[in-house]
Amino acid sequence: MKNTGMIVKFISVAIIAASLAAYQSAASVRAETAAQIKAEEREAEKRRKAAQKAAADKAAAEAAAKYADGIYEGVGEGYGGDIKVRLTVKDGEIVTIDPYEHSDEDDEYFGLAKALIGEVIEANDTDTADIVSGATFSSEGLIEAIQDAAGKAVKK
Amino acid sequence: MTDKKKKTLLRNSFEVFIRTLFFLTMPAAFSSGFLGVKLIFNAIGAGEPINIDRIWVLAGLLVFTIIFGRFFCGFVCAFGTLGDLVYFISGVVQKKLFKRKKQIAIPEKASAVLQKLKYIILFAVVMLCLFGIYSKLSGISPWDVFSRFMILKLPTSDYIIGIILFALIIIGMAFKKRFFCRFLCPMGAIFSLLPVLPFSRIHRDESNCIKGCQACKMNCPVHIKPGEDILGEGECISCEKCMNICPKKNLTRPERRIIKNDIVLLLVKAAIFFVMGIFLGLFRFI
Repeated sequence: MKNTGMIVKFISVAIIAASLAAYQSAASVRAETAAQIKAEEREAEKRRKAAQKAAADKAAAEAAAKYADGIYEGVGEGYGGDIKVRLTVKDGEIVTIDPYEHSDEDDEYFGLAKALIGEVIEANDTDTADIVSGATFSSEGLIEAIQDAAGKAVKK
Repeated sequence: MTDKKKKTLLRNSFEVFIRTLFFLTMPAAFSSGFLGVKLIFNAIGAGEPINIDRIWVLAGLLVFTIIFGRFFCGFVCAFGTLGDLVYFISGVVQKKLFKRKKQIAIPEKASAVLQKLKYIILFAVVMLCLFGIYSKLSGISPWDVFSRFMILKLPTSDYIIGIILFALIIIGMAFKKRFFCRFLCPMGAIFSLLPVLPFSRIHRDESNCIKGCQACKMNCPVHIKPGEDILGEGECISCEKCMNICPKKNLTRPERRIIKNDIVLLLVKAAIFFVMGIFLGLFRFI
């Protein structure tokens, strides 16, 4: 019986220690969850802001763009006849130029002239395109067709 | 000088040495330990996890006390040493200056009631921490004031309440052995509720006692007779005064079967605590 007091005290200490341990694990889980939610909220906010910024940038770019979005066709006179192109504008920029009709051109010359399509797309401008040497007529016809199509694309 | 007197002198010298050593090198041990209690209840009050890194001192003190009894209170704690020092000086002053034969002291009947105060203080501190009020009250802890004295800095005027309390405690220490430890110390309140392994508890062979002898109780700074009441044993600060005064050497601890010499045993425990204290960062010079 002499040790009853000590046993009671030991049990009390064990209960307190167990309660503190239980509290600690519960509180840790809660703190972790809270931190995770906070991180997720921060991430979502970041994404939202980035999306907002991108939309604003796009709107600004569109407002500043020279061409209106769409597909336009143009005709020019080449070496042997008409050259027809289909020009696509997306987000205010010329993205593709497809010379779909050039049946009267000499394939070899027209193949050389086609190099200027890349320049036009790169510069997003039809005025700076140079005539490809050795394919003057085809080049002139192609440029004319492109400028014709682009002229329809220019914002009024 | 008789052998007994010689032995008493030797033991007293070692006690003074150990207590001076701890007083100078680990004066903040008690407040660091109790800080752990405050941090635990602050965390619970705020619903946050407990910062485990900052409660090692508390854990160390509690485990040490369960194994060795309140050796910490008896020999390590700077506040306990301060109390004994003040009481000793008060005794010398009363006897030499005022020619009193017996030192004025708070009567035992009042003390038995007053010693419950520490549980109220512990409860109050725990509650203040739980409700997050404690951290807003600064400068009320007399321990903080003492800590500032220990690092040889005068407490600032923010500590006015703490300074007043500290002064009152010093006055109390002059009129009762272990005034603070027994009546007010919230850390002592926790220690007194801890179980102590039978291995380290003081056992008394009652059958061999002289009838009516109260030598152990009269010499005990916290006024208990070992083995008399189980609840009172938590108060024992492990100072071993009873073991040394008993005319029949009726008091012993099972640990004495392993280390027979009480001075060696004292040094071994002190060394164990010292090493633990260094690891817990209590040594102020590192």
